[in-house]
Amino acid sequence: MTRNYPFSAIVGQEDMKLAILVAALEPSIGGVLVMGDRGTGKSTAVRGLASLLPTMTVVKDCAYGCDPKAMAGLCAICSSGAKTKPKTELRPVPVVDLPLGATEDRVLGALDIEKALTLGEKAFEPGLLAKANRGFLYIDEVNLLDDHLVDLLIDVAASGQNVVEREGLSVRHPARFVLVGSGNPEEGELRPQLLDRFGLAVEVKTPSDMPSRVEIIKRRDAFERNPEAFMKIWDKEDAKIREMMANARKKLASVKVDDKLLHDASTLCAHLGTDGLRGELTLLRASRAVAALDGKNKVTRDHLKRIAVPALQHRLRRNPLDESSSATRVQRALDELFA
Amino acid sequence: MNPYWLTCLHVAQLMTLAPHEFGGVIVHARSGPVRERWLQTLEQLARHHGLATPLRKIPSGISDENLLGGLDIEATIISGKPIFRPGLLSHCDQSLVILPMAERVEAGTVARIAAALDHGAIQVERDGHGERIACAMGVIALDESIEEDESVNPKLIERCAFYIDLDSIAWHDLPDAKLDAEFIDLDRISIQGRVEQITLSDEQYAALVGIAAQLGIVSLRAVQFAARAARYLAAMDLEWHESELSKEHLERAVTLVLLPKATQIPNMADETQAEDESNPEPDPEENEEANSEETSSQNQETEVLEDQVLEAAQAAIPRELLDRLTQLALVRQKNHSAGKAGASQLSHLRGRPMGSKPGMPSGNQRLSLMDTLRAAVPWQRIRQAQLKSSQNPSQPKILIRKDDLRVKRYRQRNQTLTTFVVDASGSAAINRLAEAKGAVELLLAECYVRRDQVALISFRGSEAELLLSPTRSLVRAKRSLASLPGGGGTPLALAIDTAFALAKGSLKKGMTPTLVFLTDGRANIARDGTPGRTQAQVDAEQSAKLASQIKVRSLWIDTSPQAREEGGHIARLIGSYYLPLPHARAHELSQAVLGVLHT
Repeated sequence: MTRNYPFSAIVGQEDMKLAILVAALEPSIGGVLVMGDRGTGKSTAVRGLASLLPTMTVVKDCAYGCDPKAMAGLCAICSSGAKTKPKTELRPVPVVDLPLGATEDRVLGALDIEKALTLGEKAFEPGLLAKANRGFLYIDEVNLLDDHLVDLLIDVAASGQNVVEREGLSVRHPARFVLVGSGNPEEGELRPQLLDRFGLAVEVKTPSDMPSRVEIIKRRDAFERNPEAFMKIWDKEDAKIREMMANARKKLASVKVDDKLLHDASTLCAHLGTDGLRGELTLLRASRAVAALDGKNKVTRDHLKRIAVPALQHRLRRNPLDESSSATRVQRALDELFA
Repeated sequence: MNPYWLTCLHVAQLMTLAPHEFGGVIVHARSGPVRERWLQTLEQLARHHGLATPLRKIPSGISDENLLGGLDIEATIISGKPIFRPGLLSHCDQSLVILPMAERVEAGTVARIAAALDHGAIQVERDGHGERIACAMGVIALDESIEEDESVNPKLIERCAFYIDLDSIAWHDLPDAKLDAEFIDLDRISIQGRVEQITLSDEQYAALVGIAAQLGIVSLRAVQFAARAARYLAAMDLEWHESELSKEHLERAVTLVLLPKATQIPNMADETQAEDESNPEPDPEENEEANSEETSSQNQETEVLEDQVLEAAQAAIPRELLDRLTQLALVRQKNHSAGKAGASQLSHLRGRPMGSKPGMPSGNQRLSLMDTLRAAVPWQRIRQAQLKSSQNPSQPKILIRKDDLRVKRYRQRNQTLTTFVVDASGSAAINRLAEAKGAVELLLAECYVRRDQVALISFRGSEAELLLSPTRSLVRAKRSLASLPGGGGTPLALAIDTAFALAKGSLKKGMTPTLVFLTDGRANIARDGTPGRTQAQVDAEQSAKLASQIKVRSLWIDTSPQAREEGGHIARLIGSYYLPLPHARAHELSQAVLGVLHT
């Protein structure tokens, strides 16, 4: 088993870490996309996320990890037995990898080959989307994913439901997951439809200041030489983040947003010309999550400013003759409006 | 003897000691005796260190099925239960693999290999089979690129600790083969045991980071590899009870890992001067810390170490090779920003094969037999049971239903290349040239949005010149436009020839070329470069007729103040859409072009 580098041991990259925590805290934002240079710890951070998540209660033995408290959106088996109170169990929140080269049948689910061949039975074998229900679906190199898989993902991510109608099978099951993607923009653009599915987008760069660079190398080398000892040191720090997440989760529902802040968010979106309400909505939800992570009861302008770039930068219309990046444009607007 | 050969042998030694720890080595070399010799030595070392030999090869066009694995139809049918055949990568744990013609490997394949290098394992999710398979391997990427625009995928370069260039070594410079053998006498197990004990001092870490900065290396993976290499080099040298990593180990690690990845080579002679007066990149953190005397003296120590190590390391690689490597690194940096993945379109007929989809074979869709069988196999028991119950007397071996049929899919690149052919001659008055420039810039913006490529050919005097080879870089295009000079004759025939030659080339690459001519159409230079209106016109007509055989969409914008017959005539011969625009401004011009391009 390979060990994941601890989340808390990542040097710098505060934007990325914040965006990942926000996306994990508030699934309705729609996930996070981390794009950037090679060797910046993109996938390290995402993989480190798994150890920060609390467990969840699920219907016992349910292949789709249905929530026993949910009324709607259950799988066929759970909803048919809705009258009787189901047995439950605790499971870690799933963080499912969607590797490149995965075939459709493994992603969506398909006829169970083993059962069909040996028993002559027509059974459905759930795929990765079923595994990821109520958790995270992580796609490394998301911009290199095969087009036909992207189409399927977009569809399922939008509806929260996976419908398999083929090969004589007819199955539908809940598939609500937080999309987490990472990639290098130089290797190809992301389809706009998919880009749109991600609530937050962060760009990461290799740190250029010497002390952080030295620190990164030192920690990496220490991890490599003795992973167990290294994990032990950072377990405490990870636990702190875990606790912060747990507190924020309790707090989130009660965090207040006043009209002045709503106005700020609208002004910013209008100024940047982001289309539709999606940008504003994401910005608000994300700011609220930031406030909750801070342990605050009320969203302030500062919370909004901290998450505005990730929430909005991928929603700007690109002006090809303007060489400044989208992030700079959002930052500039923030400075102009809320200096 | 060529001293660089020793460096190359060190690389082979380290790769076989710890294949996965170093990711791999890019071996820039054409096929030849030097490369053979290096690979043989590598193989000997691999055998000595207990790796699997002969080394496996990953062919450049390998399919996902062969790389990652898939359902073995034959075995499945025979045994009546699903048999998954593992792919090539499943057999590569703790070993080295060779990637021939690494510069031609598809981006998707590189990404799959890169994932294996990152995690030391592959996650296979294919054909009803999900498994994580250990795959801690090292890659020997044989880079045979010659042209400037060919190079190994940066993703792979990034994950390979080493880069060696065997082309810079002549066969007759190689030492006796017995000398190579001296390298082999090492004990892998005890070295690996020692490596964990060895650590770098804070100063040594800082020196490596500083050297990387001086060499213009952005990525930290390289520094990590260098630290690792230094630890291994120390472990190879030291006795059991010692665990000192010396300056010499740092030097060798820098020679092996950092220098080949350099994008700039600091000139050591000037260095001492430059440092005192102005740091090339003033570091705010450093200035802050300068207050505390202790840190500043420590910084100085680090800097001294940095310079010593770097200087010694530089001596180990021939200067001309270093220069070439930095050039290459720069080219790579510029090139990869163009984004090689590009747009691609699924096609039923042409392009690279990529999987299949359910469907009926028909005129333009071909049956994919293997995929159809694969889809049918799981159903056999169920169907046979159904068939028995319907009491069909003749029972075939395999029951295939319409649902199982799969047709082939191919990936086809479908990128548009818009080439502007701009008349920069004296007759196309200078002010028209400015308009043309403006229009081209606006169009470039539009092309950029659609991720199309643009190219620019200008013609004046006695030649037509490709000013801007196909690119997506607006900045480059703008720069070459700004420097576009005007004046001289109108070599129209040459312009047409050049434009269509480029279009033909891009067609071959699977692109959809479009040509936009901006000219007054008044040829006065013949194909051979001699002036003379009559001959020039005849040549232009001839070129136009030849060009019309290549099916390329083109637009002819007549920029002369009064539309003249000559331009229109040539345009008709080519089969171009003819558009006289005597008084257009840049904006109108670009609208006109877009209007034609989009229909």
